[in-house]
Amino acid sequence: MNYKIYAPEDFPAYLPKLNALYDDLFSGGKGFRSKLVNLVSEPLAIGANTQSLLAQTIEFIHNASLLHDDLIDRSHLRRGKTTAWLKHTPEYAVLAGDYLLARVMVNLSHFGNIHLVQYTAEIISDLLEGEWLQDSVVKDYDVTLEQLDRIHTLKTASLFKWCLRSPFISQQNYNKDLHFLLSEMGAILGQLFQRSDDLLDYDIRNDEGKAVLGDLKSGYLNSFGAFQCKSLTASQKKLFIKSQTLNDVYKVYSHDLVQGKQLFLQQVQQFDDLNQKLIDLYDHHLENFEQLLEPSQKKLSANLKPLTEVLYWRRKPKK
Amino acid sequence: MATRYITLKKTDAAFHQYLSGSVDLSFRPIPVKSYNIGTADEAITFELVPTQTQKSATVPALIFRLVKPKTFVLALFPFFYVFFSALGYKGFDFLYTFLATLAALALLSALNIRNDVVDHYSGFDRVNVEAKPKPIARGWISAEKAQKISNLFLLAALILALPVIWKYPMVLGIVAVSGFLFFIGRLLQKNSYKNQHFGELSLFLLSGPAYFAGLYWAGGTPFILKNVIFSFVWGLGVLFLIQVNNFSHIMTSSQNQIQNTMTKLGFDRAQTYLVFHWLVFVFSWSVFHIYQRDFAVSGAFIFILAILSVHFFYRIKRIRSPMGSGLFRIRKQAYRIFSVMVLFSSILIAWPTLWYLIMPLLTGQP
Repeated sequence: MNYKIYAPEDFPAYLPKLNALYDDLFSGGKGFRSKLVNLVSEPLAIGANTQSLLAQTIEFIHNASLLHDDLIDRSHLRRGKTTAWLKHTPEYAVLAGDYLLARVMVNLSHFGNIHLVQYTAEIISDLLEGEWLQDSVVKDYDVTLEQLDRIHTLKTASLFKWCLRSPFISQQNYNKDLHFLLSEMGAILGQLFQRSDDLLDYDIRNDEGKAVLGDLKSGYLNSFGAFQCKSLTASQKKLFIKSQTLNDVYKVYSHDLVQGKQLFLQQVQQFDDLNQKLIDLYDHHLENFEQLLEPSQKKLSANLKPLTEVLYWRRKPKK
Repeated sequence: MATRYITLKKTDAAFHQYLSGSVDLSFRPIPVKSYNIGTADEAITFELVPTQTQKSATVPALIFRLVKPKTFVLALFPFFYVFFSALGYKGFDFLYTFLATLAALALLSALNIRNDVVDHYSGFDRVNVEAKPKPIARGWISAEKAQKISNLFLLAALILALPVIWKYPMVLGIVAVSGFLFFIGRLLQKNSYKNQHFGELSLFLLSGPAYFAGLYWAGGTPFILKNVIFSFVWGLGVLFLIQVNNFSHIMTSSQNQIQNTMTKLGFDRAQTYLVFHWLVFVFSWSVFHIYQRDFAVSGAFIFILAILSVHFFYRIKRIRSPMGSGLFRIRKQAYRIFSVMVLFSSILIAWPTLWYLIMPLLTGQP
């Protein structure tokens, strides 16, 4: 789906670099969030125009955060390409991110659903809070998993919540119980997605070939790093923080590489067990959610069920 | 096997049963998430853990975690102070002072357990998730049983206090003031989960002047001005620990609209406040001891405490995040520096008496 242009005023050609910057950034993305919006929208029989608006909104918000993130972190690559701030200028990267957020507000306002505008503004605010807090825990190697969860709830999970709730809001369905469940399910999906992404950093289920230990080398202890550090001694932690390769991580657990890797994989298993409980909690909420759906909307439940397989286990759902 | 959950609203009939743990004995309901805390829409998701698989601690370990013996210094040091300051007083009644202290320890244990129970029922534990959950949150004991243990400690406190009140009726005044503060707090809902300013004031008064007054009167000794002053200084120190603890939860408390001094000030100003509070405390403490002992005796201790405090101020001001590990490190450091202060105070207070006792042994002269 092409969600770059929703309104004719989106991305005017007279603004230099903007279109090129956008095409660079968006072309490599998987568009998962917009796909999630469509997964929810179709069983609700939401019109194509509205679906397009919702898809654009979430992708614009997400990519605005990526533009700003890359500048804050001084990252050189995004989706296999040179980051926007490096390729163009930091100023354009900031302005492009601001532009995306501004277009979101303009297009949603024209749509006319004030609740949707309000909710979207809240999500953007949460996202920025999460970014602010995440920046404050860089080089903090004693941060706990519980603390990181709070940051991820603001950052990652808030967008997933929006994906699940916005289609209902666009239809002016404001049922409290329904939105409560969608919010919780969205939060869990976001958390699982983040934790799965954090495992990629340690080359676990890393089919997409993400750079290994990138987070750790940047001074950021991600959720799996924090989970491991909980059971490490002070001297093990010092070694862990300095790790440059996976073998270095294995050596934290044992001088013998084979044994070290085994112990490391035990940690992975325990982390997976912890997240399986989250998946079970998601299924619990989904069961309750299903009872609130109209008969014509039951397909939605079937659409939402396999998401944990995809997001956490990175497996294609069984048909 | 998939984990079992149930989500209940406050309006559901079984809500309170699940929260108190007084349900089917084949499983223990452990609250894992609270929603809309303190509102009519409040709901909780419980994990249903089969009792057979539920890990629990040994009874001593459970009681230890519930009672929190580390807090006993708040009751024992004042006893220590009163004992050494009243030792020379002719009518000092050690036994009843000791009984009053035991009553205070039992009361403190009861309050510590009750605090855990209240945090569990109010959802505070689900808001301020700690890396080491408390016993009720772990499922080691139900809230209902914990409340019963708290009541037993309360009864023990009463039994220990009765002979003291019988012999020294003035002590009843302290009990009455404490009860009054508690009653007013409940009546005005000021001492609640959401609004904690009144609780901070109550703690300052009860742990400081009120408790010291109670101990002196339990010993049949007057509560003279210099000891009144020290009781306020001590209360200031205890309040500091409360503020540091609240600072360590500033973000989650703010997000849940809990009103206390730290959340009202906000992250940046709270850091400055903590520096100021400890500075005022160290200054008051130093002045008191210089006045009591003279500078030659107290100087070294004041100097060491000042050095530790400067380092402490530096660490507080360096904290960058309301979300990182810095907050808990500062809390730990605050408890340590408080412990050092207690140690120094103990030496300064006990030294004249101990010197008086040791001197004859060293010099061979009576």
